[in-house]
Amino acid sequence: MTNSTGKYSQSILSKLIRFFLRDEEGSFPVFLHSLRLEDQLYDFTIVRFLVSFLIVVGSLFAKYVLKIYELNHKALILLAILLFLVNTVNFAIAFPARKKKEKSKKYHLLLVVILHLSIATDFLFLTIAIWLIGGVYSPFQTFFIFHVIITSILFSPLIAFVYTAYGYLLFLALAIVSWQQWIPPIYPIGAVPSNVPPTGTYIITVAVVQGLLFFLTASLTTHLMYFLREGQRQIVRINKDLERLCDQRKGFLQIALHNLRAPISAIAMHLQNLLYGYGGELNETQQSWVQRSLTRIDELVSFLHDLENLSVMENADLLREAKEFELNSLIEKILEENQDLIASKKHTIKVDLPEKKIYILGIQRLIREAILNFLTNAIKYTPQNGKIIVRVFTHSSYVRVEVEDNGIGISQEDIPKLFKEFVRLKQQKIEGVDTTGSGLGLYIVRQVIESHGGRVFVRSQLGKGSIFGFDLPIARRK
Amino acid sequence: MEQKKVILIIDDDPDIRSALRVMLESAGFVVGEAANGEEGLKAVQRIQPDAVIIDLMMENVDSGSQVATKLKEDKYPGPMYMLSSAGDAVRYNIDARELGLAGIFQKPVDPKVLISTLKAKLGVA
Repeated sequence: MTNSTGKYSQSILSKLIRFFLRDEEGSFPVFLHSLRLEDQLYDFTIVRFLVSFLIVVGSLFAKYVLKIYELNHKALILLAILLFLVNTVNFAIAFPARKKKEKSKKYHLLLVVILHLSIATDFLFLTIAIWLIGGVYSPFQTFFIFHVIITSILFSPLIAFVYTAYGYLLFLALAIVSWQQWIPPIYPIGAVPSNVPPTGTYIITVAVVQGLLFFLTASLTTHLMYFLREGQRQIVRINKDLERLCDQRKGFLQIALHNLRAPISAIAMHLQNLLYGYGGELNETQQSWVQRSLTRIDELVSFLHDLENLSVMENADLLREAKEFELNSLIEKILEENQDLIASKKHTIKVDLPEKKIYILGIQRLIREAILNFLTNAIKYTPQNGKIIVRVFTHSSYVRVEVEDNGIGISQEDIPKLFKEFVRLKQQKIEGVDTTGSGLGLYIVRQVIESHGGRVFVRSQLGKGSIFGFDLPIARRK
Repeated sequence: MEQKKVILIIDDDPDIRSALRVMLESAGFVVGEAANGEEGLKAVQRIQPDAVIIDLMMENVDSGSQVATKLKEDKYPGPMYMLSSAGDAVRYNIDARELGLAGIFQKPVDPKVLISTLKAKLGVA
């Protein structure tokens, strides 16, 4: 028996809980910004503390400055203290676990229950306050509408109407007890125009007008919220679709790159062998055809390289992967690894590094790629026997890395186009300078540097050379 | 007469191995081949090459760096070079110094760069 009664009461309780805690789709949680439930509750709690304080200040001001002698300021202060205490209990229960990252369903339920209790007590406290300040004559009646709007914003339309009805019933009760003189309200002259008890006609008028106002406000606000929620749901749905499509694209890009790289490398290497005459001497026409094929393959390889970097950058998780690393030794390593490339164009290179070690917090392989991009561009866009300077220096909390060359330079009108996706500048053919490229390299550098909290820059003069560089925040070392 | 230097290529792509073989043989090197990391490690023991060229991406992701690490542990005395496709080094964060590599060749490998680098390193005229 006990068992079945227990089950029955449990099912009534769970039905009640479901009714009050569901949203329009009947599932938890009930809120528009459900992920921000704690924040919303926190904000309300802070506002309620402020309201308690304002009641105390307001009643003292009314009593002693405005000289409203009939005002029962002690009762109002007591009410404010009660509000403060209830709020403190809410705060103490709900917020110690606020900073926890993992939140259980139970904790979430607790927050929802506290929110409901707070709204219910708010209506009650408001009714008492209005009773203390003139009942149906009180200018503070408007605050009922304020509460109706809040509930309509927070809850599903059905629950919002339940609260509106609850608030209206409290208001009606106040009106009836004032009219019948069962518990006559206090009429502090000054705050209200008269201390004459309201007539039946006035009560009916106020009840009808307030009733219309309560339910019209609830209806309009819930309607508006319905459209907002619907819009938000659509945004969430579309975002999920976009995320899925984005993941698919990333996956596809990786597979495509993987499957393209190996055969292209093999083709290029066999063609090179052919060109070098390892398979027998080629005549001039054959050599020219193979050379042209290799040039096009080089373009393709460079494009794949940039796409690969883009894909690596998109998949990098800065928060998880970031580590502290030393910049000077990274630059030395990059230069060491690219000696052959520098020597192939007979450039002279000057390296100007600070004596002090500089540490950066980030993904080293991405920063390496950014520096390498500047360096290879300087090598590529400078005719043979050029001069390249790699410079590193600190300024305030930043480190600046610059790569300067005396190469072909960029016109002033083209400078703003750099660092954008798929930008290829129109360049004249210059002896000893290969101007092919994917147009992705500098865009990737910008993405890498900006994702690390830095910025990129360029200074250039056509025919004289360029300085490409970036600023990055220096890691604060303990 | 100076004895020819032996280079071992460890790569799972037969076309890359064959293209590298052509380049190296044309420069007077003797070439050994292995199609995976395990075979490569055995071949190092067997033919004791003067230099090893290892592909970074073979049967397993970054298995090339595992082979390099193993050879470094076994105190392989010759220079080791890594073959990497565009982007692999940045994706898998290859540190040439840490792996004890003498250098990294980007695919497609330029015969001039490959031969001049190896000749300089191995002291071949």
